[in-house]
Amino acid sequence: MAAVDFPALVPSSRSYQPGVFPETKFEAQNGAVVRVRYGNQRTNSRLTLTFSNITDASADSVLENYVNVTKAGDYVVFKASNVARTTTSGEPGVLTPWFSETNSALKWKYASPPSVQSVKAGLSTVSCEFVGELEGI
Amino acid sequence: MAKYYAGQDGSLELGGVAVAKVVQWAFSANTEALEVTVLSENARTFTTGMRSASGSCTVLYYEDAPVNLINQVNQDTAADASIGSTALLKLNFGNNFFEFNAVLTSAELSCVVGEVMRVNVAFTMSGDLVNKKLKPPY
Repeated sequence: MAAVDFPALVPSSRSYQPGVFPETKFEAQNGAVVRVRYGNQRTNSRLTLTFSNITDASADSVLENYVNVTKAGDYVVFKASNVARTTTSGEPGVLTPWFSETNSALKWKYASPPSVQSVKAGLSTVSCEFVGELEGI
Repeated sequence: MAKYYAGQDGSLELGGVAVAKVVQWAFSANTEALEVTVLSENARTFTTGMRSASGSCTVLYYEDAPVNLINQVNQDTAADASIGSTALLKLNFGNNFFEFNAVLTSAELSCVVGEVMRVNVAFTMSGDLVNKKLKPPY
């Protein structure tokens, strides 16, 4: 399993969920709750990206990335300068470690194939959904 | 003084034939603005999308002046076998013009006391401009 950089594209919208700690909840008939936690690391974080009205060449780079990452069982790396960008300058911001999951052991995998919507000749809108998974822990 | 255009310079052709008694024509051209703003920007940015145009004209109902237009709107091939789904319109002003294929989308006939009967026709351009000339005449 190797790291593959995502193409240097800045999304037009980004949605992130930090995931959960794996646990099972037991609830008694009187409402008392007991939780059994199975790990001390977050898992199943989610990242949804939309790239609106990008060139077909950029859309192609995303599709190529999906194929390359998925066929080899690799994972995706997001850089502070593009996908995980939170500042106008491109310097890492407060939220950058979350979006790139460098503050956890999670690895970004494609949750589903990218969706490409053709807008007009030469322009497309691409949506990608990623899931953060623990691997080899 | 620079040349200006007035109503007397305007005319309208349907399929290469001048339409008589035209009171006015209007032409509105539009281009979609597709947003390409990304998360690192502070101001919205755009690129061009699809182009479109539409317009209208008003023709006085003298004899059969607007008949061809009305037949085109109604797609009345019984009255005129040459009618197709689109019509070639040419909007002239002076030596300049816009020429394009259009779907004639509506015809509104109004007969009012004290006024000459008139027909308002609306159209939507199909495809891009076939031809245009936008140069000073002198």
